Amino acid sequence: MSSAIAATASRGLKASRGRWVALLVLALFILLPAFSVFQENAFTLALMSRIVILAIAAVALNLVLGYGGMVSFGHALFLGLGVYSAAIPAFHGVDNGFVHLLIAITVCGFTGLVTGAIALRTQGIAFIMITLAFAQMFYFVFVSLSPYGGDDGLRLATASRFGDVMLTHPVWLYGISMALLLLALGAMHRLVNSRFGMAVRGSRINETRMRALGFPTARYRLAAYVLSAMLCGVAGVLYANLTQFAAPSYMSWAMSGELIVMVVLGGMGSIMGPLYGAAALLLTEEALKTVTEHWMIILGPSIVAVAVASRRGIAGLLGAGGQLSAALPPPTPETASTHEPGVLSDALSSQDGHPAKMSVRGLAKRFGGLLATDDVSLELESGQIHAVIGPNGAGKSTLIGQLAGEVAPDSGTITLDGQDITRLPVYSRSLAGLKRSYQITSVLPEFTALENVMLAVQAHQGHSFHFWKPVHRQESLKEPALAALQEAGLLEHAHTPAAVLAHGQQRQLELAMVLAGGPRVLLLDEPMAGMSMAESRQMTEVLIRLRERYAILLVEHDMEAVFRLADRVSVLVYGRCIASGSPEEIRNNAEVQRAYLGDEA
Amino acid sequence: MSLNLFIIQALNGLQLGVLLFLMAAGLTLVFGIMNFVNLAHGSMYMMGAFIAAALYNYTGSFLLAALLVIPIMMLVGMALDWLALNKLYDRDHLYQVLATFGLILFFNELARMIWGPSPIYMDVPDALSGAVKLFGIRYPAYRLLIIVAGLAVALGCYLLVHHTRLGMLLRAGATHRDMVGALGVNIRLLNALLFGLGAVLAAVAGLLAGPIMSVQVGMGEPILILTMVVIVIGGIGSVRGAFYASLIVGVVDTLGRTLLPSLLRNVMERSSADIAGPAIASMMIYILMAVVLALRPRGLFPVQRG
Repeated sequence: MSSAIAATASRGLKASRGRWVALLVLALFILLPAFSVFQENAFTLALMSRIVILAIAAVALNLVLGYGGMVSFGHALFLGLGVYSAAIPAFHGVDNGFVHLLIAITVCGFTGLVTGAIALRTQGIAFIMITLAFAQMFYFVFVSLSPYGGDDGLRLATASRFGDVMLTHPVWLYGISMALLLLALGAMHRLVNSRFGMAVRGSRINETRMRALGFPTARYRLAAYVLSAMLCGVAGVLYANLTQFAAPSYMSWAMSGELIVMVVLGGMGSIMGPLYGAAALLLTEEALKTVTEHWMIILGPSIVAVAVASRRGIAGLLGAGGQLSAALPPPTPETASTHEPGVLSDALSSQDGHPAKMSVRGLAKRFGGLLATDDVSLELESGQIHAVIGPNGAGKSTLIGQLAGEVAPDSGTITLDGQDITRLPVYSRSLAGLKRSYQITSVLPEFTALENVMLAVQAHQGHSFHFWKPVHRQESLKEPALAALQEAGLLEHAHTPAAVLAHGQQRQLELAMVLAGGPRVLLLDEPMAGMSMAESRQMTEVLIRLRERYAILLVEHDMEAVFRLADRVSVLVYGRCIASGSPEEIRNNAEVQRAYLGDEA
Repeated sequence: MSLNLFIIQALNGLQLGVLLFLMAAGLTLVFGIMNFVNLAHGSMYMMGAFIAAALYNYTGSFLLAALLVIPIMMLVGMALDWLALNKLYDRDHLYQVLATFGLILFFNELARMIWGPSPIYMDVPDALSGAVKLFGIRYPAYRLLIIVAGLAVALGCYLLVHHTRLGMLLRAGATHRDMVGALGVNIRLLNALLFGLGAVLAAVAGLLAGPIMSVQVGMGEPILILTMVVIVIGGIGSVRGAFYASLIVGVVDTLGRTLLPSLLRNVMERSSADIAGPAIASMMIYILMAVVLALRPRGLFPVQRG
């Protein structure tokens, strides 16, 4: 406990140093044009403008890459579309900057929606290749658009005009770009700590868990991708004004690569990282250009070195790497709940729905030649614990997987309160009150225990498309979450990152997450696995209290616990249910003794 | 459009498809077996073309250039693996993308320093400069050689992967990497060999393409991206998928570019058809990719992973 506090404190110190550096850098960027030397030196001012504008694009990419974990190698597409959103209207005599921005946001938003919807059907490597391919597709389209210059590009006929301000003036361009960057940074800071931000970040950290909590993760990812595309488009409009030019090369793979370098170099998933990264990369490029015309021969291997060495980027080095810590309240002991443990608090029980009745009929699942589930039928209802036991490999986890929706059964039906849910996706079942825990602990290690549970509450409440209010100031999330932590016996560790919790505590955290999500049916996959005797006994007490409220399916190897807790026991062997009955009947069933408990039992 | 022209264009599409397969085979093997994203694969293609062109112009023998470029690129590929890339096998794809992006910049600049910014040309070898009569159509002998050589390499790959001891190890390593290591196989050497093999296949593609396209800095990236489309369509990690998808993409792209503009002229005004034709033609394979992904997100021949 004390070490956890020390760790949090040192994180806090580092975070405050990171914040000071951030303020200093921002102040420097804001005050720069005030120095006459920058006003007179057009080259320097243009370079600084380039840093600021590309930093906006990098901020956009960071939302997808750093916070969302989606490696888009095609973000230059949106920058390029933004550039043409200024250049093509200007070509036709429209110089209104608001129109340029509106076109950029609309076009990028729509393109992001379509390409994102297709690309997000895949993951990992395929996602990388597809985003790259789509950017290349648009590149070729603009190459073949001869009326707008084709491969040669198009000179910007007129700069964007905002009221009386023309962006031809370099100081104005810098000022407006800087203002938009500050706006983007501020918005990003709010966004990543909002409900939406938590949903997107959670999906990066542990997507399976997020789905089981009730989040339709693909939806949040796509929304983040579209938002990012729009912001990139805004950067594109500014970029067109800076270079006074539009060319297909602005959406080339090399530009996409540079944006990724900026985000990784600066520090993924940190607010200020993209600005640090943009400044570091572009200044390095300029410095190398003064050394040799073949500067890329040095830059290339340097990028390789960054990839091999860096994990947290410049922001990490400066101390802003603990991305969330700035937004965290100081770790004071929680006093929100005053009632005795053992009595479910109002805040928690108000999450509960009506009693549930679930039934499974003739469920079967085959993996190649292996029959993992063979015609299994069972009933669950509120107030009862139905234990499923069986030797290793009997298909218990596969059964839970099918009930939770992670594994599609080959045949059979699953109904909840008479409604067929056999084909419902994981998150919909979760929202209907079907909550599972995992045999191998599955939490979100980067978040604190409290944040983990708050996500469960958030999923249950719906409303995850809120972009502004930090979750840490939302009592409607916090109160039930704290109550659930108390119920699971983990209140004193509320502000400890899940990654540093002991194994038994992580299991308690999983239980808290299940409880906080408005459960009606609990699917518990070996909740006592790996627990000490004492922890096991404590968990048994908790389950006894939960029995009266929920319908519980308990898969467990701890026979003492099973026979103490269960109202009904089913025995699975090689996917088949060989016996089902009261604990007493199972104890005396000869076939069970032979197949499972061993001959001498 | 006459039938002859159609057949010639179809053969050209086949020839592009074969080149794409040489690229795709290496890339998909390296991905499937080492779980590694290698964007610098296009640079191997470019380096292969440049080195072959230099050797050919120096020795005057295309065959000699071909025989020399293979061991050279094998060494380049293995060196890359030993120097930098093997440190990234266990890392997130993002870092592999980043490192190989850096390598692209490096190789492009290296080629620019050695051979200059303007394209260099490779002559078609004298023996193959004529045309061959095929189904009553005259088709350039060299392009036919590309098709035949590519198909031969494809067959060689198939035999290597399915009928040799090395191939067995590669296949085993693809699904059970740690197990193969635990059985006493030198996984690092296996990886380096595989990487070298991928580089050689890319270089052979570069060598074959040299005489029909100009050899220049940056020639690797357009074909790399086409190759990625091929791999996504075929199913990542699947050599068989890469083969069929290469031919499909090669033919669709080539025929699209030649047929579509003239087809569009029949349905719209000539001026707008001249603009829309090439634009839509350049989108065809990407639309094909999108359709395949919409129907089968894991590609036409998805690899079963254990």
